[in-house]
Amino acid sequence: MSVSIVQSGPARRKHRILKHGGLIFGAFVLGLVVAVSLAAPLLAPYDTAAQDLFHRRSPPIWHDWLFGGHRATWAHPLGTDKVGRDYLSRLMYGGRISLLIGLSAACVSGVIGTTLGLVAGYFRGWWDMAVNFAVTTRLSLPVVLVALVVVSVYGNSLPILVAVIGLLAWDRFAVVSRSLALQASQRDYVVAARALGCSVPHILLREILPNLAAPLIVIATLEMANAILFEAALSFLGLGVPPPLPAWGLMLAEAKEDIFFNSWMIFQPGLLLFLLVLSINMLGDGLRDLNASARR
Amino acid sequence: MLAYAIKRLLLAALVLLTVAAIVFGVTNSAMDPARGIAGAEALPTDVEAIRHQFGLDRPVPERFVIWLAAASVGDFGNSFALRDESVIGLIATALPVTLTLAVAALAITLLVGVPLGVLAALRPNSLTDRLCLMLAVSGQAMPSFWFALVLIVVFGVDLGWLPTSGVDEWRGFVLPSVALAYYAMPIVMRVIRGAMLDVLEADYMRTARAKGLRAGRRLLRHALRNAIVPLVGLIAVQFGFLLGGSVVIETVFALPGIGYLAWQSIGRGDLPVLQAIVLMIYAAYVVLTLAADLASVALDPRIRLR
Repeated sequence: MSVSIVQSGPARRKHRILKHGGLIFGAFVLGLVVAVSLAAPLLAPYDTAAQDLFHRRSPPIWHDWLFGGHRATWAHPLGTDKVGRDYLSRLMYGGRISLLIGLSAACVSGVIGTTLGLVAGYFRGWWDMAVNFAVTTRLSLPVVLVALVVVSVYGNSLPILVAVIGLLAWDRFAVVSRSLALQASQRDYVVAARALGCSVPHILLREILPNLAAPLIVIATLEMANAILFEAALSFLGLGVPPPLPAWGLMLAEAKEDIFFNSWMIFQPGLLLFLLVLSINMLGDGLRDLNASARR
Repeated sequence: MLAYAIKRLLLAALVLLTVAAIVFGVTNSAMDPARGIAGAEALPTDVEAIRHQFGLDRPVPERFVIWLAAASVGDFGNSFALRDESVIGLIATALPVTLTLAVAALAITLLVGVPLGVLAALRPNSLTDRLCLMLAVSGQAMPSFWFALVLIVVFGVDLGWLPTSGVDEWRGFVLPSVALAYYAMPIVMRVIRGAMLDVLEADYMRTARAKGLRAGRRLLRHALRNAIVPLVGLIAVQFGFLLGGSVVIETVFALPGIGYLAWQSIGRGDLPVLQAIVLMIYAAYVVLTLAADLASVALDPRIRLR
């Protein structure tokens, strides 16, 4: 009987994955964005800085179908900005910036939070209190304000952005890995490893950490989505990605100046941002559901 | 309970010191406001004189202690950028705008989020439940500033129903508070839905039904009253978030509130204003979370504070 359970395990998991609509949708959209962003140098019709001065503020092609007129051009199917830069090309390269910052910031916060959580959960006592205090402090910082201050002080560059977002978003990693490490440190395999004389780093990294991987990956996806939104908001406020780069938040900030006469300009970058964050969130939720049902 | 409140306030004071030190350290160690105050064409000697006049030539820890001593008696000094304005005065002018915005956004959040959460919990996995879930999921993924821009385009530009900036009349608050509320609403809805699902399965609900209580009374007096307990803490956190997180929304709609003031102060290198705002938002957060903890004890006698 145990044999049949072992055999049906992977099949059932496959079934569960395919049945989860959100997971499929999220993975598909995210995959599409990643693929297009990576292939941007091959796919993008123009350079992101190239200006087509004869077609400035050219609306996307659907604009003519919806509202009449002959302002749109097939040369720029998604339109151009106020200096005639191609929206399609900029959006493709913009995806790279969002993904890069989201992924790196999630990694930074993951490393910080998981380290603190592991230490607090394994050693307990003073370590635990110190980490708890750090989490409380972090939760009571007005995040947006602090990020704005730091970026305005140290200048806006991609590494600074990643560091700021990563340093401000490690709390969930710390809380979850702390409680999981607390549980794991009582388990037989950890007690056994300790009895065998394994070093503390070995126990933390080789024995406990692999068992935390699944829940931490779920948090990492959700934090990546948050980091992307955060970066876009900072860029929108003018204290994020520095200007000539085609970040979606920056494109929205430029489009805002044109909102009364060319309101279509806010549509494309915002929709992409929304879809990207939505797909990562749905992927994360789906992975969490899979974890939960695998535990049961 | 009093001992608990005192313990909480002591911890809060300790965290406050840390937060103040971090913010003060980050801003003061890297920003040089003297150059900004003196203006672009000032001579180096003038800049040096201003630095001395404002005490900016002293070491950062010393400045921190001086600032903290003054702040603890409510003296935040004058703004660097607008020399005649006291920091307290600037904040006092901006605070009503932010408070109005936050209260309005919270009201919308609750008025929409709570009924939807209850509705979703009544028939789990029904079409209604799924629609509510979709609304929540999309709300969490929606960049708040983009949603604000879409609202401006639709209701301000295309339809022309509502003003797109300023607070000259109450209608100026409609779009910003809706934009803020849409961001806070999903989590309220999810919490209420989860709490209602738990409560609806409780024995006392079966008893209430057996006693023949009508559905409306059963839901309001028995179920919702219990489901609301987890909401109290959430409201406190959300309100604190609305106070501090409205930077983006206030900037989009050019509302002269705390967030907009902070954004302007960053641009002007106005350290005193910035420090006071961060401190104030933190104090609001502490008071709100403490009040929420005490309120949940009052609502649910089963909760014991440690």
